[in-house]
Amino acid sequence: MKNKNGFVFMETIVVIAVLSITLILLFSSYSYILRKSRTKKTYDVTETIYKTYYFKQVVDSLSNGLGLKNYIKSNSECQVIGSTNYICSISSTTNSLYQLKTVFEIDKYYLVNPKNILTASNSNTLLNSFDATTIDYIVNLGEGADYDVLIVKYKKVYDNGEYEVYHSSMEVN
Amino acid sequence: MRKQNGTTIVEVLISIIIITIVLGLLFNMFLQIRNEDNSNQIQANFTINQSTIVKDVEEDIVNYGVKRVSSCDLSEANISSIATGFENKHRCIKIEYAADYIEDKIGFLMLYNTYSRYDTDNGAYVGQSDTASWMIQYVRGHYTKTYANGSADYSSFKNGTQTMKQYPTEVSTIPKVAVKYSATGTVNAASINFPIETGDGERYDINLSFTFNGNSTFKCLNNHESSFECICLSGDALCQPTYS
Repeated sequence: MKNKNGFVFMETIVVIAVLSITLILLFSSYSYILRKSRTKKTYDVTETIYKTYYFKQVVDSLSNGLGLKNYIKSNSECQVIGSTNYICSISSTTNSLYQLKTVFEIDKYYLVNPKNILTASNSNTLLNSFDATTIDYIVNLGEGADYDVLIVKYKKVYDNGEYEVYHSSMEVN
Repeated sequence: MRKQNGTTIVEVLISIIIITIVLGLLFNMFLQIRNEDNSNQIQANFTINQSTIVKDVEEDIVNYGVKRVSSCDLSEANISSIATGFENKHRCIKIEYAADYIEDKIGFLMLYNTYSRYDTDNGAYVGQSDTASWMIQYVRGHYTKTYANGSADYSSFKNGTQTMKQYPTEVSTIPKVAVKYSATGTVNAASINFPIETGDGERYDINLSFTFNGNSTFKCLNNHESSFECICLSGDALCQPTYS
């Protein structure tokens, strides 16, 4: 009769297979974490905070004392979302902000109340009016931001055609 | 009949080969983690330097306003002892502030390769004494002496405030410093791009932006064409690319 002491070959293979599967699972979750950490969140870097500060000052000065909110509400290049949120572009070369857009690499600017958007019954519909990166930014500001915010989106285009998008915001009274 | 205890040599060999492959993969993974950790530290260092310098220069720009921006030589800020072989590899911009009420009206933003230097603001040395490394330095001060013809004696430059930071890796001085600006009378804006590029192509540029009042209150001097450029974006006569 065959004497079976120790592990047989099949048992060893099964153990190694289980170990390998476990290691592969570990490695894939590690790779996921690594990929996530490599995704840079470029929110409110020092450079864009100052740009937004200057942008807000210029818009304030262009409003002739009426304030930034009224300037945006009466601007034909601003589209109202819901009743109190605005998406503004600067496409007309006659717009006084056009020079600022060119020098500061501004893509769009927004006047929003993050809490109102995020807690509204039609929150998804409102959010879908914004582009994906801006939705992320508004969600990042969170429901705690119960005030009007001027968000400026910057788009830096490199010579090779690649581009980076940055967001920065300031509270508006 | 032959008695079979445990495994045969072939079985053991196959097991060892499989274990070796698994360990090899694991080792690669750990190496990757270590490299990632190192590169994260380097990236953090570059980002901190970038934020610190941008904040310090922008504070001065906000407080004092900018009158002129031009390219410069390190000697103008009384900087010497550049590492051998790096004498012509540096970047320097001079920012002249508009405010009349301050004495330290000249700011220099410089990138150069040198040994350790004393940071008067922090009372400590930055860099290593035995190995040269890349430094970013922003200093604002004034000249205490001028020559008979009115030009400044560079050796008399006196620091008012300064910020010095050492970079952990090589950086490139190939990209040009670019000053983009526009003037329309209503909105006048400028941005300074001071490029910082690492060996693997990552960019940690010092980008400074500001607005200015008046049509001709800000000027840009294109005095080192190989390393510096003034770009007028408005194409307006009010945008003055040079000054004398």
